[in-house]
Amino acid sequence: MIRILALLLLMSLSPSLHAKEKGTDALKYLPIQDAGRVKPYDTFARETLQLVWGKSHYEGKPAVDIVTTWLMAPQLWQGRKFVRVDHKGMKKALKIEGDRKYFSPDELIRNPRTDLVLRELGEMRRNNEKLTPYFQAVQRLENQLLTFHAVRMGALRVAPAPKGHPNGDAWLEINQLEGELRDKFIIVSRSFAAALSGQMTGSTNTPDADRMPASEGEESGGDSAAASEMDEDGEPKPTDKFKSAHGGGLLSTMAAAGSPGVSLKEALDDFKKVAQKSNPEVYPSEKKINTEVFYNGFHPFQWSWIIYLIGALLGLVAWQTSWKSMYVASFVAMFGGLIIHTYGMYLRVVLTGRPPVSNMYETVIWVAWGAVAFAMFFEWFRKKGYLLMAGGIVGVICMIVADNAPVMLDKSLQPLEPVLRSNMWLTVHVLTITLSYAPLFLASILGAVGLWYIIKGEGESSEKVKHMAQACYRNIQIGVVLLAAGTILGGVWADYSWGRFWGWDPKETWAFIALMGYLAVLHGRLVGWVRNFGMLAFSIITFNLVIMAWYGVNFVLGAGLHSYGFGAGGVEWVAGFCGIFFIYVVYAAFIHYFVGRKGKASA
Amino acid sequence: MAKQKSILHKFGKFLSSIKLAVIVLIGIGFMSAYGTIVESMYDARTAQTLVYHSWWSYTILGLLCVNLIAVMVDRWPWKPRHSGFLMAHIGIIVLLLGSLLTRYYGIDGSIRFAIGEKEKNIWLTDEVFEVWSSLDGLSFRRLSPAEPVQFLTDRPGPDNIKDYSAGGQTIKVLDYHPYALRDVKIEASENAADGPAVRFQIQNERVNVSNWLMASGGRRTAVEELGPAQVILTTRDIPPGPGNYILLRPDKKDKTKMTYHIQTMRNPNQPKTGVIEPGDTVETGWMNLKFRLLKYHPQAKNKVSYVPIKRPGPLSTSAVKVQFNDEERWLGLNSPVRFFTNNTVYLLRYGNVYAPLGFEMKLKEFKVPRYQGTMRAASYESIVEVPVSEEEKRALEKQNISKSSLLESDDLNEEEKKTLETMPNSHMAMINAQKKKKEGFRDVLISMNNPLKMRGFTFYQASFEQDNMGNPTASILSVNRDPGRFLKYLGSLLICLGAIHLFYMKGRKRKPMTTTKDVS
Repeated sequence: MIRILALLLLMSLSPSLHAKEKGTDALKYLPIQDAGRVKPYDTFARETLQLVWGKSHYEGKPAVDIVTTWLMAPQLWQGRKFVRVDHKGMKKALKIEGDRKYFSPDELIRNPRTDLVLRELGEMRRNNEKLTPYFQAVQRLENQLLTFHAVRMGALRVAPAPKGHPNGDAWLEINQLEGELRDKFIIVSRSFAAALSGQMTGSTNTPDADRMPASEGEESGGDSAAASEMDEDGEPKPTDKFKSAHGGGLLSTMAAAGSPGVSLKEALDDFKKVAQKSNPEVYPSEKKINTEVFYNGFHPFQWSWIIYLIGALLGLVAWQTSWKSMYVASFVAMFGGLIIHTYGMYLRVVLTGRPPVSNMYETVIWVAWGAVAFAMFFEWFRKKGYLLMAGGIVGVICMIVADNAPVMLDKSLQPLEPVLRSNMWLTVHVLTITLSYAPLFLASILGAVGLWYIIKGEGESSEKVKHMAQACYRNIQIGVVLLAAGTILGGVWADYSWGRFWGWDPKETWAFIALMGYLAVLHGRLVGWVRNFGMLAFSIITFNLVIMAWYGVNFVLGAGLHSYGFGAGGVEWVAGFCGIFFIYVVYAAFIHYFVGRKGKASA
Repeated sequence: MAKQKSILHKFGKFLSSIKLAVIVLIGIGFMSAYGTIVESMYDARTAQTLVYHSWWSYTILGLLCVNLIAVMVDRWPWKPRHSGFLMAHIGIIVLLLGSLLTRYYGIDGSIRFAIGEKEKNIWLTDEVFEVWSSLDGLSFRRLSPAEPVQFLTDRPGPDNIKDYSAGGQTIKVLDYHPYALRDVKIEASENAADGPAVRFQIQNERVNVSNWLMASGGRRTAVEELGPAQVILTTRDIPPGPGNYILLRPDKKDKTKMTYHIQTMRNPNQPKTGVIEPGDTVETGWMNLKFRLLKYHPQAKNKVSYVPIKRPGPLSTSAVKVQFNDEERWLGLNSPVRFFTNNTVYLLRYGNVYAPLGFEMKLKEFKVPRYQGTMRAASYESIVEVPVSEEEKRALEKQNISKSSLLESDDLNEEEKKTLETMPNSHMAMINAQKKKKEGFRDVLISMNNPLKMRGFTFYQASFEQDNMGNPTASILSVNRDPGRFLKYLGSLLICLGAIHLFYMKGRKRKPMTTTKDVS
């Protein structure tokens, strides 16, 4: 029976079958408790697959199907190379091929070096030491193995514990289910298997579920001997927690019993009804779950960057040709993108119940929003098109980065760190300060556009250059007002939260440094040190300070009270971005000061 | 004379110039950036003392103030259009003045108490060197006023020996490690009052543990937990009870030997006993474990040393080398050391000021609510008992407390409220709460983002300590008194209003600051 199921699962994994596969969608809407909140199974599956495999779908199959087969037939996955390991240094420490990306859970768990690196990590944690990128990678590996193991062992919390249950507010795991809950869940798993294989037979074969073993599959793995083995120091090995007396797959026998004769949706509705009865107060409303599944599938931010890209291109054409129709089209496109963008942010706010600036990912989305909104606002008065283009570029850059750098920018909806909870001042402070990045980003793009004219041989006092420099100046002014207000609000927050108006916290300090930089530029313009070319060049150069405050403090400096935003990776990309811009400025300066002058002299 | 005047005039022009402003702004930027780098390489304390509060940082900020004042004087007589510029610039000066007030008259400290403990002193960030003396070793008095020290900038060393001699004793600070790890070694002692210490090894095919046990310095029994069994070193004559353990005692006849008593659950009536000396091995008869005595000091003491490290870590501290008459020892931050003369005990301390708060607080409870189903902290909450002020007490006596008002108020904790609710006929809880208030105490909850303001101080939940099992054991609140707060907020407000005003003025296409043209 198991072999047949395995065959079915394998078949279903082939992409050719996928196109028709919609039968398992209902499972997405199952509420489960994970990482401190209740979320739809869809979210959990996406996050889990993202963590382990690096993408939220696997060979064209949706995360829900994949993660559920970990649970139901783990033997298919134990040896499959699907755990993504990136960190070169860690691969070296593990003595595994440095150029391979994916490894199987078995080869990682059985590798004796895994114990060594995990033990080092444990030592670092005990000493409260700051984790270096290497140890962050080890921590990620540990997380990947733990998560796969937890799913394999059925440690998914699918139903609230009744009041007075020893679990407290922790929900019941699949293997803790009893009575009706268990019966209903068995039917769910059987109809899932049926739905997955696409064979909804009308079988009425429903054996008595209670007689079936709940915790031991037929395929018991051979790793029982390895369990709780002591090493030389008499301590259990770190990898022991990924091994178990039995091979997991505790549902496979149930599922293998054949289709229960009800559709997966009906089976789930039945199960949800019973689960809700268990503790109605904590069971989420269907509406909220539906909203989140919708959000997961809708990808509002992906849509908005695509539309921004179109809007920016139209804006470019409109600006170069002054065609009215192009201009209107660009404006409409940008507005459409902004609406989807806003709607995406609105969904996040509804789902999390807090303002959308609690981590790096959300600030990137917010800055993009601000840049597009500011660009459209100015465009309303200027009506030239280049602002739409610049706003579109900022939107596209930010949103592409946000959408495609999951290791650096965590998209998932996480509960807040204590210091961030219910804090009005923090919210106002972060909203203001990150909003200031938007016009400053816009100014740097406008600066780049203006320098293009310089490179093309326009003089500093040409109308086009003047226009760009004026636009940069205006944007920087707005940015400076917001940055000053935001920095001061940071003081108010710090005073409110821990009694120091200004504690030289690195994140705050770098925002302050950026403020000093831009003030120097603005004052420099007053005395004529910064003319039109300078304005354009400094719009780009000074923006590096914002990048440092926004990104560098968390990912490069890595110290201070703002530790909630820390992550790893992407340094080379950001440095590359800054480097290219810097070279561009140097090149423009070369043209401006040497080539340009020659041109003037000969004229 | 005219030339002199023109130099003075030029200098004045420079002080009020925007050029200086740009230089100062860039200077502040570099100073701050350097500070954040120092902080990420070392720690916040180092960055604060070496960069942010260094004389040169203050010089740059001072220059900024001079520049701001000069430029405002330069614009005299002021016109309405100057108002934004004036507001922003005065705002900066007011803000800096507020910071100066905080720096010199503010209190920045912390209060630490274990759960259930009272505390009436706070730890300040300022550091001092103190000498205390005592005739009986119990009650100490300070010999000289506490000397404020700043060893990070004024670093003691062979060229900079600090003299703190007092009470006729020569006391000097010879050397300093800004970052060091405290290392404790056990060694033999001459002092007959000291207790014993042993180093042992327990071994079978799978387990190999070796460790020190010391029953000295006030303790007469020391226990090493080895999972299912214990190793116990004691000088007491307690009769052995049931369990799995190895009991070690100094042998009364031979000073170099020990007696052992091995008790197992399997054979409770047949303990193994005998005499053992360093190098000997005994079969425990339990899980094939061999017990070996590696070292034995009949009298032992802790030898504390400080190993200097390059950069601070979570466990590092700072330490100074002190000389007391002819004796030289290392002294860690906030860990005082005793020195003995014939008739007096001296206590040398280098550490943070431990100053009276003026009243007493008690940590009744420390709670860490978690996010559902996880160990992830959702909040940190200290429930603290604080004295009620005289006015509050008087107001209370007048007030007629009803049950419903009590239930709604924060005066009762959850448990008391429950008692009150479930016992409608009893006024016990109410009476208790009233009594407690009249006695002058009330409970307050201090949590993150929910500080307590009291008698000019503000208490914030800063951090906590926990045991190996992850259970919280103590709470640390930060304590602040900030006399500069009003000026800082006033300055901030002025800056924001000024900036917006300036921006608005420019928005109306005015030619900006024509008066500066003569400078450029």
